[in-house]
Amino acid sequence: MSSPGGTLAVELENATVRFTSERGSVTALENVGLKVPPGGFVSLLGPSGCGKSTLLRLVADLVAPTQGAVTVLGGPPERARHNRELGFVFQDATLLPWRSALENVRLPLEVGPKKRDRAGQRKPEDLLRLVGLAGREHALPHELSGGMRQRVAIARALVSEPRILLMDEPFGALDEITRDTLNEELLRIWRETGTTILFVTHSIPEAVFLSERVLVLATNPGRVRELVACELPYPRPLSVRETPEFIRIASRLRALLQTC
Amino acid sequence: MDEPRTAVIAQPAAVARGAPAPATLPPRRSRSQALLPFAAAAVLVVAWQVLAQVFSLPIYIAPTPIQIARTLVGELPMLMRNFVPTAIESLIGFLLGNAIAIVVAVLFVHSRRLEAALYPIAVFVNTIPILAKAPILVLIFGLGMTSKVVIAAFICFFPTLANMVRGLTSVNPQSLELMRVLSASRAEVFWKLRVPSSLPFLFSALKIASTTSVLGAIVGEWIGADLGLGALIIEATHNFRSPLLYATVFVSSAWAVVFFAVVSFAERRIVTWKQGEVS
Repeated sequence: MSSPGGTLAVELENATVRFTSERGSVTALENVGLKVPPGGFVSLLGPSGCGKSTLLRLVADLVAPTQGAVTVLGGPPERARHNRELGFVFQDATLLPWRSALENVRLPLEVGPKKRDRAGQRKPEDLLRLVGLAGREHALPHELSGGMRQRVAIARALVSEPRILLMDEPFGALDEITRDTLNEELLRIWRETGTTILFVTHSIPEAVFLSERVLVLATNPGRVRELVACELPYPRPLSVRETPEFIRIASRLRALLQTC
Repeated sequence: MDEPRTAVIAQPAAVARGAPAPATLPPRRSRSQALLPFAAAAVLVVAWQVLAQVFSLPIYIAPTPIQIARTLVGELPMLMRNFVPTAIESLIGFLLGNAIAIVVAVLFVHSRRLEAALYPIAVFVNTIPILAKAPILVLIFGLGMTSKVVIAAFICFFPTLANMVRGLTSVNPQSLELMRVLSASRAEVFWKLRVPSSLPFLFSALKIASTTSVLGAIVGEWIGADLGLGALIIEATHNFRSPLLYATVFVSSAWAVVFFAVVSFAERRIVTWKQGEVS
């Protein structure tokens, strides 16, 4: 369980998830192994139905493994969830429409077993500034653009200072320009907070641009195809996407995906 | 809460300049459009007056608007004396019926078994026409105001129950996952997620109930009452006092409209967000 750098942030050992219904059973993930060190940035890439989201849900304790083991910060995922070590960002911002941006960011501080223990938690106002939404604290979600709503969701995920940030295609529904901006900001936030990030995406350039490593998953059943390292130095400006190294990694991922 | 609302209302100017209208923006009615129903009503009233005079219809068949207005003014103290009990009955019935419906909806949401056992009975009772239910309730609760309150409460109960159950259960599944990631307790999910989600549904039901509670009180008074707009309607009809009948109908409608307007106003103040927004 321990690695040279100490306890792993996330470890999956032969994790299998099978969903059983009246019409039979579907294997979403089969024998998946993954080790993510603290502070790491790993993207999960693969075709639809390869179990990317299921893998994230395993770590978030939203799904339990049928077989195998999932360890988060050296313990069961449930403990990490109760201790507020996990932040989750969904594809839809999933803001409560009757709460202002600030009130949405504050939600994690108002619910759950550790809500009275505010010490060491970040101020919602500061987080809105961190995601570039200073001045829009009192706007309701329907008054914000899609990109702004997603920024609020990121601020909300960060408010309890989680050690692991789980992001399920967070920028999938956004236009490309907004997506680029948020990619750059996510890297900045990652470097500032030192959070471990697991990031699900459909986009090859996004995966290469953001991550240290990309886990390519194959479908039917969902399984690991390959773990690809993105050896590009940080900080990465958007222009890194035109370098030969970037293009080489992207083509390799594309080739891998074609055989998934 | 006020500031963002003004910001939204101010946006049609941008629409006029050719900027794309945000999908969430409701079409704003201009002032002339808001006056349209009043103009149409005025035309109808004038046409009624003219036709009644041209064909010189007898007053007990079709009183003219002027005759009705004269009765309305002349009989105002008597109309008000009858209005007060109806207003009280419908108001208390409204509060009682909706309060019980909300409590039952909460119980149903927390116990599927209770819902399975009692919901079909609620549906069955709801299928009994109010005209059949009213005499039964008058037999049980007597000829006083209690029976009218109970009838008004009954008529409010079912729409609110059905809407509230739907509102409390129609929570965005992803919001529920979010609450699970946050390890929120059942009570926290209820108060911070289910209750606010249900408010738009609740207000749809309350708007229906605001007018039907008046209907319930009047139907109750038909069965037997000394005082009240319902009793006055029966009396005026039997005595062929058509202008009084019409004036009474006018007063009861005006009360229902005011009631509806108050509930709508409360809705606009409380439900400030956009319904059905996935965000």
